[in-house]
Amino acid sequence: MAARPSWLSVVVIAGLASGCVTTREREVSPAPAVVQAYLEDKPTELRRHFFIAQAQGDRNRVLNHMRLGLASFAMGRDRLAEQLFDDALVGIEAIYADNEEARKARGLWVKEGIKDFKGEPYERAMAYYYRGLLYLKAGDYENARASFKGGMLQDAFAEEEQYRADFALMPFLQGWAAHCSGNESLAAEDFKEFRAINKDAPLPRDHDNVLVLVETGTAPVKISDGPRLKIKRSGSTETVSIAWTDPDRPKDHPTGNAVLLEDIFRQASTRGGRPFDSILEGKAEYKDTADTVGNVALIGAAVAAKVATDRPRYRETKEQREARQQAQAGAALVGAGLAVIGGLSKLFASTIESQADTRYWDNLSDRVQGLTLALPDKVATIDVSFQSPGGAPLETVARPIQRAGKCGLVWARHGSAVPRNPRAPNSVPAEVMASPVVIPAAEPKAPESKSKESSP
Amino acid sequence: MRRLPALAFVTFAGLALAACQSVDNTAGSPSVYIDPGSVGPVKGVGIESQDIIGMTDQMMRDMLSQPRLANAQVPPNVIIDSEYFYNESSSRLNKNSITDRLRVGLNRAASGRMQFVGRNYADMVAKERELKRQGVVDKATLPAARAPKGGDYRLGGRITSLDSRDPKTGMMQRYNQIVFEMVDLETSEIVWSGIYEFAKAAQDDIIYR
Repeated sequence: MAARPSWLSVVVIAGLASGCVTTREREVSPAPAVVQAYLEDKPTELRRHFFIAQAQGDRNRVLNHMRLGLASFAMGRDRLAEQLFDDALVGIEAIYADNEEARKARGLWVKEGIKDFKGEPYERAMAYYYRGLLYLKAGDYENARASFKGGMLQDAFAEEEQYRADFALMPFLQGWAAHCSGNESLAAEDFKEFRAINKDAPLPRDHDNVLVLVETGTAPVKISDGPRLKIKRSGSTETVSIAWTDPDRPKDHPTGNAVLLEDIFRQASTRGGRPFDSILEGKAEYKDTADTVGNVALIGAAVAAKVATDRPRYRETKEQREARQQAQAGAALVGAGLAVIGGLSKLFASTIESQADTRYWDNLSDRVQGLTLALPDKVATIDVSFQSPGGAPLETVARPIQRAGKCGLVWARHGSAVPRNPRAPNSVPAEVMASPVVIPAAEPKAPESKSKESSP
Repeated sequence: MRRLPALAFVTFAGLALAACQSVDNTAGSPSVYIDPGSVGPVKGVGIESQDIIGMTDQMMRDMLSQPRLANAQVPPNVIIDSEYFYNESSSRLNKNSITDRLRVGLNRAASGRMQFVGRNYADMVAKERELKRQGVVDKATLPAARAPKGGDYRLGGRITSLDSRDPKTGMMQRYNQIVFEMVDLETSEIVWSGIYEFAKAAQDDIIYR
C-alpha cells in the first residue's frame, strides 16, 4: 500500500512536467492605450495581425514583420512595408553570438522554438527580395541591387554544394536593377551569374523598361519529422500569361507568357540538413533512452507493487505471516525505488525538447514567374491571367505599371497576401494558437467631476 | 517507509519545476546614448556608423593635405554630394550619410580654403533668385550674383564589396572598399583619390545556420 501515493505523484509530476511553456512563447497583454496608439495608423484589414505582432514580441518579430510587410506591400502601403522589412532585415542581419536565448535553445530542456525567429535561408532571401522590390518601385536601383545581393548571400548554406547560391531570382533582379541604373557592365556580370543557374529563361533586352513579376501558389510548409525539419509543398501552382493595350495601337493586343524565375519550394526543400539538426538528433536519442529506462523501471515497480499488495491465499501461521509481511515490505521498498527511478527517467525524457522549430512564413508564394518588356509610357496597366496547371482559365487581374526612374514594375499575385490567421503557424503553443484574437477596446475617458464642471 | 512517497513527490515536483525554468523575465533595457564612433550592441558585417565616421575623418584629413584643393591661391569651388557616388556593394545604405558627413566636416575644417557648392539645393536657390528678380521679395542683403556658382571639382566614387561564406562553419566575411575621387569639372582630371577598405567576419550561433 505504501507504494500507491508514489504512483500518484508520478502521474501528477508527469502532468506538471509535460508541456512546459516558457514565458517567451506566450503572448503578452499590452495596455489598451498602447495597443490603440500602435494600431492607429495601421490598415484596418491587418489590425488583428498587428495586434498579435505586438503581443508576441521579439521572439516572433522577424516572422510577423515579414508577413505583415508582404501583406502591406500587396496592399500598396509601401512606406509601411519598407519599415516592416527594414526591421525584419535588422533581425536577419544581426549576428547571434554569445546570445542568451541562442545558448538556451541548444540545451536539452529548451525547445528550439524559443529562439528569436530568423527564418530558414529561403525565407530570409525572400525578405531581401521584397525589400528590393520596394526599392525598385521607388527607383532606388542601387539599394535594390544591394538588397537582392543580400538575398543571394542567404542561400550559401545548403548541405549539398550544387544547391548553394542557386537562388536564380536574385542575380536576375540584380542584373535588372543594374540595367535600370544604367550600369550595363554590372548588369552583364549579374546576368552571367543568373545564366549559370538558369539556362532557359530569356534575359532582358537592352531596350526593355518594364519588369513583370507574378507570384503563384502557396508557401512551403515546415513540419517536424522527429528532430529533423522537413519542408512540403502545400498545393499546385498556376501558369501565367499577360496582355496589354497600347493607346496608340488600340487594335493590337500583344501578349506574353511569364517564365519561371524561381521555385521557392525548391529553394526551401533542397537545403538539406541543418547543422542544428544533429543537436536535435542527439536530444532525441537522450529522450528515447531515458524513456526506455523509465518504462523498464516502471514495469519492475508494478511487479514489485503487485507482490507487496498480494493477499494471503491460505491460512498461515504466525511465522509464515511474518515472513510474508517481511517479503512484501521488501517488495514495497524495491517497488518504490523502481517507481522513483522510472518516474525520474520518464520525467527526464518528457522534459527533453527535441522538436524542430516549425514556425514559417505562411503568406509567401510557391513560385515567382516573370518577363521583361519594352513598353511606351502610355501603357499604364497590364492584364495578368492565371491558368490552372491543366490550362483552365482561373482569373484575370489588371495591374498598374509603377514607373520610377528609368524602369517600371508590375507585381501581381494569385490570391490574397493577407494571412488568414493573425498568428503565424506554430508561432505559439497550440492552446494559444486556438484562442480568439480580441483587440482590447480603448478605455473610456473618466468623466470630469461635477465639482470641476461647476467650478468657475 | 511513509516518508518515501512524500520525499519522492517533493523530488519530482522540484525537478518538474526546474524543467520549466527557462523563462524570459528580462525587463528590457532603457534607451541609452551610444557613441556612434564605437561598435554598438547590434553588430553585423555591413557598413556601420563607426565605419562611416572613421572613413570620412580619414578622407577629410587626406583631402586637406592635398595642396591643389586646400592651399590653392583662389579657394576652389567644390561639390560634394552623392550624385556620382555609386553603391555597388551588398550593403543597403543611404549614400548621403557618407557624403553629407564628408562635406560638413570639410567645410568646417577647411575654414575658407575650399568653397562648397550646394548643388543639391539648386532648385531652392533658383526659386529664390526668381522671386527676387520678379520683385516678389526684396533683394535681401547679399549682392546679386550673375549666376549660381559653378563647380571646379566634384566628388565621385564607388562602394564595392566581396562577400564569402563558409557553409560548414557559418563564418561570413565581407570586404568593403570605398573609393573617393575628386574630379576636375573642366578637364575630368582626377586631382585627388582616397580609398578606405575594411573587412569584417562574423559567425552566427549554430541554431541560425
